[in-house]
Amino acid sequence: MNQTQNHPRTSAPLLGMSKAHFARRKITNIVMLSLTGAATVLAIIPLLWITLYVTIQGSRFLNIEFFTQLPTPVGVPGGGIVNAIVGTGLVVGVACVIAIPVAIIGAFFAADYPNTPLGLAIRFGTDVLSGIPSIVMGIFAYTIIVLPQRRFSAFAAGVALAIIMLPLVLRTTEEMLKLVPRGLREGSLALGASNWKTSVQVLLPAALNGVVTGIMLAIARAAGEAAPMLFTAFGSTGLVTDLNESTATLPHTIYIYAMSPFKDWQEKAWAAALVLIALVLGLNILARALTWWRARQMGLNY
Amino acid sequence: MLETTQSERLGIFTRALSGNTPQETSADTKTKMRVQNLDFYYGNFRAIAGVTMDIPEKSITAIIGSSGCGKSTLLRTFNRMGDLVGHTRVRGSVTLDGENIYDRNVDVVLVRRRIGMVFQRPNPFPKSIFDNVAYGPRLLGVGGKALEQIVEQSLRDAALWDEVKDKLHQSGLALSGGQQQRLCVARTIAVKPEVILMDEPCSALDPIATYKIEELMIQLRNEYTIVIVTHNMQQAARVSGLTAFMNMNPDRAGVLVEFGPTTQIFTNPAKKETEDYITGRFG
Amino acid sequence: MAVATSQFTLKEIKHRLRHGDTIFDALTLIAGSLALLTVLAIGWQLWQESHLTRQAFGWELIFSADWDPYGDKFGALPFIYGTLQTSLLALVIALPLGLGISIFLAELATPWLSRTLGFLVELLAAVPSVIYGLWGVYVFAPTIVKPIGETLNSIAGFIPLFAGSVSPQYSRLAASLILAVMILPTISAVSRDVFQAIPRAQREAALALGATHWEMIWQVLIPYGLSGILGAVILGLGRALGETMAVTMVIGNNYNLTASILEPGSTMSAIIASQFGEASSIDLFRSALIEIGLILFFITLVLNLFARLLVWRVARRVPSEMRV
Repeated sequence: MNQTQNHPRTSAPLLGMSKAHFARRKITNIVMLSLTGAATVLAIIPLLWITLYVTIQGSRFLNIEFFTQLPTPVGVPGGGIVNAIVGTGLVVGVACVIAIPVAIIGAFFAADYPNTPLGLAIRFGTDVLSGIPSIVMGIFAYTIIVLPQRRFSAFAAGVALAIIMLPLVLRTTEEMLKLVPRGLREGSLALGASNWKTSVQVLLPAALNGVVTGIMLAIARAAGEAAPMLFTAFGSTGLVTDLNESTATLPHTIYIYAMSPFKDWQEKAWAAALVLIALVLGLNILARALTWWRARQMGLNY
Repeated sequence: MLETTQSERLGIFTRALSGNTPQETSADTKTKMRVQNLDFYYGNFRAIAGVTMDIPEKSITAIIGSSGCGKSTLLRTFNRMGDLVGHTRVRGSVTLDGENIYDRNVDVVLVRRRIGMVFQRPNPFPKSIFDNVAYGPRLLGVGGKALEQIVEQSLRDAALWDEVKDKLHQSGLALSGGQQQRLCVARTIAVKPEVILMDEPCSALDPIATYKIEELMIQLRNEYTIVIVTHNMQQAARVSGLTAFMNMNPDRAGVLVEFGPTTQIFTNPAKKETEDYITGRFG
Repeated sequence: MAVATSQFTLKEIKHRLRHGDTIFDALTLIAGSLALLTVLAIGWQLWQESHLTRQAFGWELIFSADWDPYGDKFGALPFIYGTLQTSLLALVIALPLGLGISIFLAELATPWLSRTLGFLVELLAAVPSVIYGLWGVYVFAPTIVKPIGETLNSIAGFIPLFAGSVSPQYSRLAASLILAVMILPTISAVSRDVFQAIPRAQREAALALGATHWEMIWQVLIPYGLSGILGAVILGLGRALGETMAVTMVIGNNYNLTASILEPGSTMSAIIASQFGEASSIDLFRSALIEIGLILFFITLVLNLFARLLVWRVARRVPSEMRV
């Protein structure tokens, strides 16, 4: 019963540590915690640096012509990148048409059967697909469309971007569907609605805001991709009129202009970069604002 | 009628105590911690209002009360665990050996080193049994043979040594719930705190494991000042010398209704509220 | 009779409803499987389209350092080396920073500050790769990378890794540093999630024993979330390995196998990006580049599978600690 007698207590070892030791611990604490803050600040510097620099450099060469004119050859002043802006719009549009329906429909399965082998396989496949480099997607689109058709095309570019967008939209839609309160779904099922009607008429509208946010982020990502364009859209100096033609795109144009040895093209690269970064960061900030707004609507302290 | 009920209650205690007499606090016992006019706020919500109590040294003090009345919150102000949650504020004072632990120049790390805590659910680190117990002493710079001695002694004091001495390098998570909780006690006493706070330490345990922890507490009270929050009245009656009864006031703030020797609180409470609660609980 | 009819119709309705649900389920299953099928299709296509070089050279493509497409010599070793070198260096730089950021955001910053700074760090991942390249080659490399390279060379120039002089625009060091910036958001976001998933009981246990805030983080939280953090690192590595445009623009496309990080080099993705235009009309050359793409696909696939498993394991482990 009395353990203290069985094991006579050695005089309690004194754990009153030395002042120096404690001071060292406190200093380590302060130094290391400050370093984590410093790391965060350090990470944000490139973001600010890039956005400010692109804005300052780009705005010097930006004018109305830049948005409305076709490119001019080296040395000829003026000209714009309307072909690249239209081209980016077109290929991203094609990507949306292909990816969004598939992603949203697929998300229902992943959300409805989250812990079944098939549901897990779908989530796993989606995660893995999102980790594959975009340049590989470009080669893939090249081998299945450009090679058989023997021509570069906006359509092939759209397919490559669709593969990039698919996992992004699928996963956000899945997450959003899972956030819809159970009661809403059960209420609809209890009224005798079938599962698919409930999904399409109740769950999807409830999740729509979040899904739209996910789509915006996916568009921002796709619009900035240059690597797949090298093998698919290929680039062109004219305005694209047909999905089966090659086309210029914004990121690809920036690459070509930036890597050229010509001063006036390099200047245009900065202006095009400003257009692209405004588009991409704008979409990101808008998506975040929507998320914030939605959270406030739901009364969450977000 | 009332007399009968009281003696009946007393009967429950004598049975419950199973040989351990509750420690009676004599007048000359030294006060270890003194809580004065303590208010605790979450943002603008006052969770604790005007608590004043003296906790005597080397004894077990129990805090009882209905759930949500702020017992755990009060306990967590004793080692400044409440600091962890944002937007909290404390008014009044909690002194340890006469020193206010909320004083501006008091280091919270030192406070917590002197006032240890055992939690509601066993929370061993996902490390070996040895490393769990060694964690605190290592922070203090202890190593080598001395560390091994401390680990062994702490495990012995926590009545766990015989069960784990052959598997010190297995994960602490591999133990049963009751063993995990005793491991957490061993981990706490390894730094030789002066006060041990226990926040419903048996609420996740089965009766046998609970019994072992209670037995352990009774032994530890010779060395340590123990404050235990419990929803289990029999437990409070079995182990504690002093009992504090807390309740919610109309503003939903926790207040201390009555504080005194355990036998008195349970058999002859001064306040109607206390009596209602205890009668209700014992049926 | 009436009852029987209504039962019949009810049954029929039920049957038809279930029928609709079956179609819906099948449709969603097909759509959902497309992601996985695409992964398989990518692997299959790259395998097929690289058969020319696989048959002609076998493993030589991986182990030879001789790259002369017009002399039918396709040794990808310099690019494999370049990819590993730049990615690992980027990881070495980004890991402590990313870990620091995630600690700051998850453990120290107030919720408002954490959200705001967290969003800004996430925006780093949103900046298009080609813009990193543009900024890298004209701004970052001349102002930051060149002085760093010169300092490294003057201190440790006797080590082959730091030999040679650094160009103001193109170097492997510039590529590594930009990659580090680009993978920071991945590492910090995943490890922040890992930290936030660690139960409060673990923190309280450490603090109640008199640990300082940092000791709690370093000795309890990091070991607890280690496999999740490893998952974050591998996801970051996967991103660095496949990153194309920024690297292509700053690395300088040198096809020789040299050790130094101060010299220009090339990577697997950079060689594909910079030479595909010329290669597309030459079957063997194109096959070689697609085979390099296949290697890249395979490495990132394996890394991703591994990282996902690790992150999933942490997510599953959290409740087991609560076991009683």
